Amino acid sequence: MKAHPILAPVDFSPHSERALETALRFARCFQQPLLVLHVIHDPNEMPGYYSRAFKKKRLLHIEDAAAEMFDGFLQTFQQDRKTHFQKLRWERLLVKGLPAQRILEVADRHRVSMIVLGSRGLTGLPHLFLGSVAERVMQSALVPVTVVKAAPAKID
Amino acid sequence: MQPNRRFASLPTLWTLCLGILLMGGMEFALATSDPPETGIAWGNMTMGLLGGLALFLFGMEQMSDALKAVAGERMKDILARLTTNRFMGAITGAFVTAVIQSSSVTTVLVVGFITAGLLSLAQSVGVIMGANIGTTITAQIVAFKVTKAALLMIALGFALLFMGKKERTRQYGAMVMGLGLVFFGMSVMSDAMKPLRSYEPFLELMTTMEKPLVGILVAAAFTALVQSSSATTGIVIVMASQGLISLPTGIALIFGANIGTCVTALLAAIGKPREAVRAALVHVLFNVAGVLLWVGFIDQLAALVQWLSPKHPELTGQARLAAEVPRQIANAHTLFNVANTLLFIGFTTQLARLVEWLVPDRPLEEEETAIRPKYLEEELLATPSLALDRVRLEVLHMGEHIQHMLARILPAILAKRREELDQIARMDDTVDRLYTQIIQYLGKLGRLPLTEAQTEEMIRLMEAVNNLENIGDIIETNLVVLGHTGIDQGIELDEPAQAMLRDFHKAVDRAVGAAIQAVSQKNRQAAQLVIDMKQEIQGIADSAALSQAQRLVMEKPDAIRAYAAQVDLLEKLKRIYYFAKRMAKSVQGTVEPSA
Repeated sequence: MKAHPILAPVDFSPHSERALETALRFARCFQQPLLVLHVIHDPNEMPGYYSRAFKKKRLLHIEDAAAEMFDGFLQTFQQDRKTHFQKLRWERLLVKGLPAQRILEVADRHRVSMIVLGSRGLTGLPHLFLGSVAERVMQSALVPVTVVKAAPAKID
Repeated sequence: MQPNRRFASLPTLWTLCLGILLMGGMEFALATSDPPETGIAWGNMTMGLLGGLALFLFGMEQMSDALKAVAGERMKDILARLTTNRFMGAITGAFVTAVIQSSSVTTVLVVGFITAGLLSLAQSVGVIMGANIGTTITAQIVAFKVTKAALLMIALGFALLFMGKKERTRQYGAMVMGLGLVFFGMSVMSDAMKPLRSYEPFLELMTTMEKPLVGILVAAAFTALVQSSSATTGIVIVMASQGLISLPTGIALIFGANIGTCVTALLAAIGKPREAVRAALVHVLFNVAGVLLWVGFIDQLAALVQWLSPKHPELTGQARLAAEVPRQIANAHTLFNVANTLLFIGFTTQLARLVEWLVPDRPLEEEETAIRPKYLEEELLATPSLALDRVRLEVLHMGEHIQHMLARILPAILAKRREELDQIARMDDTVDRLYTQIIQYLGKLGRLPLTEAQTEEMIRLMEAVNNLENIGDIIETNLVVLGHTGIDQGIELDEPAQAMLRDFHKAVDRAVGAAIQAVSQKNRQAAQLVIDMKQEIQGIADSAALSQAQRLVMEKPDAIRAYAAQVDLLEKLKRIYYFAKRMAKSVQGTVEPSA
């Protein structure tokens, strides 16, 4: 049986947590590994996103901060869903770059079967100017993309 | 203190070359077109201008170096920590630039920080905008006419520099002396320019600068060449103080200086990560866009600063210009940069998006998509016991990869899926990477003082990862190759043979899993289980060989080749068990755990 992981890009937001929840459900349904990805990219509209999470006196490498946040995010996520992670093959992957491009590249490199990601759902003017990562991934991805906006019903 | 010679001499040298060319050209033009009846001492003037400029640049450099030495570390800290929102970023950028007196230094610092991964593009945009405001302080300072105080400052600074006992006092001395040299250099240039006031060709040249584009281009080129917008600003203000240029010309020249100063940062970003290149580009785009926005409104800006700046109605003609224009130019400079920052700060996101679009990411390196070690942290090396725990977890992590490979390899071979075989072979890259990292980590650990038990544990873990790596290699090379040759030769294994292989594979799989568990949890029971499986494994292998040999008699086509392939597969799987057993034995060989 070929392994085609389910790719779940996360940005630690509640939206991406919901998306990860859905991805977890898919992974269990299709019996495929789960590949959780975070692309390190300080959001332009929120400069210092990573450094703000750590109110330390010393200078912090953005990559280290992101890795720590990623682990923390996954740990809390896992704690609430211990049983769902049993017998589940999963990996975390941390990559630096522009989110949309990196997500597509990782999807290609790891031959994922689908991408599940959250969307903040910008509306109005900001949406017109910025678009969203989800939108761009959806436009260019060669595999099915699921965009999660609302919280899914609790799994079994 | 010693100024940074290399940095100081480069722009000065350029200036010299440029100055000589410029003056030489002028002299030549004069000799051909206009006989020297004006009575200007060209030699003296050239010396005055170049010497004055040299003093000015040297003073800037010395002041900037002293400021960096006194406040540099704190400035870096401030830069990295106070940039978590764009407004704070702009204020920080302005403050830091005002303190170290150079927007180029600020942007170069920012580019350096981004390269080191301490600052992001989003954080840098505000800082870069602020840097433009900070640099206008220089113009404001040099617009003061403190010619007499200049010599006093030099004397005072010199005294502090040479008599100061403390390093800090000496730095302050260097700072004051540098500032004095800046003013003195300006007064020297100013004196040297006096004769030009009545020299028609020069005045005509200056009127051509009134065409904004010409002024902007000349000033941008000059600034890029001397790598200091302050030098351009200084000269512009000197010329203004001699009444040689009008306010609109001065504004155009200042605009040019704003563009020219980006070149330094752009040069600093060459060959740096994409984020750093983007930051330098933000600087260029912001400064160029600002100038483009205002270039049509130079007259309006001039009127505004004339209204804002102090007036001297008692003077007339050139004297009045000389008294009023320097401050007006400085104010125009400040006003222009503050206005631009206020205007663009709402669009930092769009600006960042634009440069991200202009400078896309390089394609992802193979290395970056790989699974990295999860647990090996440098900080923990200080506590060997914790570090060893982490290694054990990482061995488990590596073991999981091996188990994935092992679980998939036989089904792939039996189902003849080439693509999956290649995929499994690729998975070994991750295993190899984890192997290297664990070995390196253990190597670092080995250099620290360890207890005897810890050393033993370290050696055991090293053996374990070696054995795991060997298992990975057997799968990656031998088994994958067997799978491919099987497909190439069209070997068909019949159902009983497949079932037998599957049984054997399952047993080996179990053994490997138990061995990994034994090592990662120091679990002696699991280790014993692996060792006890020897009989079972041998039994399956023997009976398989026997049954196959019997069936060979049944004269099937290709039976011999299929038999050989099957024996090969059995052999490799047995080798995998052998390595698992070695892992288990290393755990068994240890002293009884205390629990």
